[in-house]
Amino acid sequence: MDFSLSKELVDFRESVRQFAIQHVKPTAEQRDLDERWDPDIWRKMGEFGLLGLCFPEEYGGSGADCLTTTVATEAFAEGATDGGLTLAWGAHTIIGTMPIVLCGTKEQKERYVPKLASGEWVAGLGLTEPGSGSDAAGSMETRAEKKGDRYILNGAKMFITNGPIGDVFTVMAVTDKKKGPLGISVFLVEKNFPGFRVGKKLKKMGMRSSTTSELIFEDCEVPAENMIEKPNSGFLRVGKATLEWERTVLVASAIGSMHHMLDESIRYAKARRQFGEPIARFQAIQEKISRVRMKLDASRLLLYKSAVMKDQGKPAPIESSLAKVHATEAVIEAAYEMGQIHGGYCFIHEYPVERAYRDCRLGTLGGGTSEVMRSIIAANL
Amino acid sequence: MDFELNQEDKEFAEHFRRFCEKEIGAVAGEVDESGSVPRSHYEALGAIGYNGLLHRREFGGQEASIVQATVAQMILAEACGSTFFSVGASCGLFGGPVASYASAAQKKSILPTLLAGKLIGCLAVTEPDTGSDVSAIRTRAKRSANGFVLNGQKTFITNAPIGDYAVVLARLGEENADSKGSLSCFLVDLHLPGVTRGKAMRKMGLRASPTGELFFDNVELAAESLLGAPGQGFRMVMEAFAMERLALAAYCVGTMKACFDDSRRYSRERKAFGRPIAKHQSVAFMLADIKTKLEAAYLLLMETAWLVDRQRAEAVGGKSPSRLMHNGYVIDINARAAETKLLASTYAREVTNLAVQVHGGAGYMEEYRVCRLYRDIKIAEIGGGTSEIQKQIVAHAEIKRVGV
Repeated sequence: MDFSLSKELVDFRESVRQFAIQHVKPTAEQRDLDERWDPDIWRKMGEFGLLGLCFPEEYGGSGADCLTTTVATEAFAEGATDGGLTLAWGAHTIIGTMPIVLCGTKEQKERYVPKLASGEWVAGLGLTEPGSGSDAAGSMETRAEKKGDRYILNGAKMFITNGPIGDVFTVMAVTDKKKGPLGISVFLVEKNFPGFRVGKKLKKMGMRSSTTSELIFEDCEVPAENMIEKPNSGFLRVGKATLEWERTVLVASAIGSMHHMLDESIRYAKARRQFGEPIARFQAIQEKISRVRMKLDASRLLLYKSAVMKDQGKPAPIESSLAKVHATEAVIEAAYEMGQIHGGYCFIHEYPVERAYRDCRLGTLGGGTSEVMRSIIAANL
Repeated sequence: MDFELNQEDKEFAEHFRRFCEKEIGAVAGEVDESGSVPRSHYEALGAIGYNGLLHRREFGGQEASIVQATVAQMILAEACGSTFFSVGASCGLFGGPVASYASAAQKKSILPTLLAGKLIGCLAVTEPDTGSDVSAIRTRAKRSANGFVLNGQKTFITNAPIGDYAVVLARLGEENADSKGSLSCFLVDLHLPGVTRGKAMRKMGLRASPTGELFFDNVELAAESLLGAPGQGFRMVMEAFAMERLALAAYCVGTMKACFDDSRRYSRERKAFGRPIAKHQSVAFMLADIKTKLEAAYLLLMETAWLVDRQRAEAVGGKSPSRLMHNGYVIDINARAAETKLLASTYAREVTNLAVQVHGGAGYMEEYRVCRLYRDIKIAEIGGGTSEIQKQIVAHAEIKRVGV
């Protein structure tokens, strides 16, 4: 057993956190109010090497493994206090681009990955639909029919992070209805393809510095060479390769956020005086601090274990799912309790805990609800 | 990072698991009903090396790492909570302070017999009016011509009804004797004149681990009964409690493992509405929650055990650092142990409840193990410092960690 991270990784984590404190945090409140994704910050993230962190070096990435990417995401979320941008990054790098990296052809990688690593292009994933969420494969209605050297896509994708700003989307569509989940294929759809359009920007509870919309396909023409993997292998192969990354790396945002809220709330509790003494002296406040600390430490370990298993090439359906359940439920509890410490200020925009409270609510919904996670755990026991 | 035990530890764990299942787990239900852990358990655990895991080789110990000891504790706890507690009180709570502070002669005469399971010890701190506020104890030792005279009363002491020796926390002296600095530990032979004990108390759980009172009425102690220096008692007891916290967390994880195994098996065999209950979502989700809490507590426990091993390795002149740098963070080891016990005991209490729920009416019957586990586990949120005390320890360290 060895619970230590390498010194390089600890140093890298600190440099990512500092980057986020310097370039992201100062405008986090305003971008949240404006519901604005900032292309300048995005470009800086590309220059710093974050956008292509886990892509191969030959395609402009940094070749980082899953653990490094997880730790970097945690540090970014902690420093940035910006769940929305952390989400936009994850949607771009992990669920948008990793299907190409893990399952794409050489040509597909050459065409897309370098531009996505630099930040010149933005990626997203189209899986969920208006009528299909937890039962993504079984209820999918978007269809792709082969016509000559093209596929014709019809349907719509819903709640797509980076929808309004994306240049290319990894889109899942039914190619053989009879085969159910085994009849779904994956396509790379560029925003300029004929028949593709983006719905209006959706207004959200939180994660407002990321943009979300519907994607609409009306006889959308996609060249056959833009299919990832073989026909009908999309959901299982691409999904399997990518979703456990998603459940690990994107969940790291919850850990970083929890850590920031804890530190911020302790600081607040030491400075805030009521009944003649700092509220940190009250057992009611100490109880909340201790409970959040223990859940933070346990969540972090669950997540790191899942990441290490990915890096060892081991499937981790149970580990990634239970890490997600534990961490995303813990961060909601943390946001509530750390909000209680802040009292009335928890309700005011100026305080990061207010934003975190709204942002973290997505955790148990996106990337598979807690209910789907529990089903996966139980099915694999 | 590597979350797997090394090959040697895995083999040791498998070997010890086979032993525990056959010799301890198989009779745990009967032992619970009988109200006492058989003496042969102490001896068998001595022979296989469990009792001496954290003790020196010269006294019959194994000099194992904390990680190895923690793995073994989880396995024994899974087999039988009462055995885990009584043996732990004897060799850990009692054996720990003796190994650290007794004289060479005392160690030589007590430790080998203790580790062989032929002698039973206990740690006597709690009193009728003193629990969490340890420094308020009233048991008092006065100096006499030959040593000390001990008077007072202790309660809720694991192994008191059967113990041969106790480490007793008492105030030393008469003047200025109410400060924390007067607290001292004494090695007391429980067969001495003036020592009497109450009957084993009837408890909610852990019924085979005998618990009771100790009464000291002008007990004459030799001068060498004082462990360490006068006034060191509070620190000794806190050290013993810090190790106990890790052991209690291991007990909780072992119990959760037993709950998981039993619930998984039962829910696959038991049918309702035409299919195994494991196939019903509400039961399946309980299994998922049991697994999640088990895994979370296990990882936190193993990391803490690993950190304590590091802390020991970094000791200078016999003194271990109280804080360690770990992955760029400063970790207060004492607070981390408290946090680990807090999480493990909270989750284990929830998990035993889920396990009984999965078993339905069967879970209410003593025939099923989860019934006993549900009763037993409550002690983990009370003994070795209540959850409320653990929360204070964690919060104080946190408040110190973060600057204004």
